[in-house]
Amino acid sequence: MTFIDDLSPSDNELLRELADAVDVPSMPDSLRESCLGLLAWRTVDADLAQLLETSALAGVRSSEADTIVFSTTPGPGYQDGTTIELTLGERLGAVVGRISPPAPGDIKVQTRNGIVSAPVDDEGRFHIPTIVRGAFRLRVELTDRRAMVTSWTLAA
Amino acid sequence: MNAALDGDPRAWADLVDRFNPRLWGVAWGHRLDQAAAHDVIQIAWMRFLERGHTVRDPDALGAWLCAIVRNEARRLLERQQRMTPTDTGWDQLEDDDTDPMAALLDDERKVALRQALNRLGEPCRELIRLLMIDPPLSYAEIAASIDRPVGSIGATRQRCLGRLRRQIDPSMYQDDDSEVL
Repeated sequence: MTFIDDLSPSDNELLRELADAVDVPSMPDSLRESCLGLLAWRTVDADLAQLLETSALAGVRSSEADTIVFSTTPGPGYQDGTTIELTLGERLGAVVGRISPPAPGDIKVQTRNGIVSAPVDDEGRFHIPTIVRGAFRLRVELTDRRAMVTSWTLAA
Repeated sequence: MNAALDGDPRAWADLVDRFNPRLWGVAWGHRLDQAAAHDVIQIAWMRFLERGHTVRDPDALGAWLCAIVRNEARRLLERQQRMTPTDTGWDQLEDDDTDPMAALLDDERKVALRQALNRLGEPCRELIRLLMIDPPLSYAEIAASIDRPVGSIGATRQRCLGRLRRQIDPSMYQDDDSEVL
């Protein structure tokens, strides 16, 4: 039972009463299992440029609320200023988007369920036939030798 | 902590078991439903595996993880609100006041407590929810969860508990509550 050392007994009692009155949901066992399984996903991607989700900073241009923008972290090199803009279109049944500056190559989306890959065309556009829910990340490898991976991000 | 980062399954299990109850509580404190809480906690651990080597002090890991849960919960909430602008939004969900049967069956005291909590403005409501978590969060973890300085937590706690008491029984307090957090 919760007991906070540096609160008065009556404060602790109040919190305990409150916890009884409010339904604090207990942690499901499945959470432990899925968290333990994450260890297998450790990959050494240190050599790849990291893309951070920058939807707020980049200003989401599309009217689609489920558009996400990733940009490379600032730093020297030709991978500076790469942006991936994508839409997780559940209705489309696909993840569509565009990489700029453009170059052809390959994009992979990784989720708990595995990895799906798709080509990137000359104009940096891609169409990955998969629906993404929960946590995901992208890995991009382009013919101009740019290679990047995004942080784990949540699809809404 | 470093053993876990190096891939030791037992060290990893220890870490997960140690922090998950708290992270679950923090996710709940931020009004996430169970599925969203599950996802956000996964993200926190994935980020740890990505960048945990930047956490120099193992004692700071709890606060580090709580900050991620806070940020991801807020991001998720923002995106949800963008997608369904006509909804009231998660931050207006009330704690089980929506079930009239529960209100009938529970004793008056419980109903009064829930209503008092619901009437508390933010950030007090969020803070009180965090104080209900078992095992209790440290000052640093609370501070990371509500994005306030650690030094202010003690005083903020007292103020919020005071407000809660006033909501429960306004007749007991004569003074005018004009404090601004």
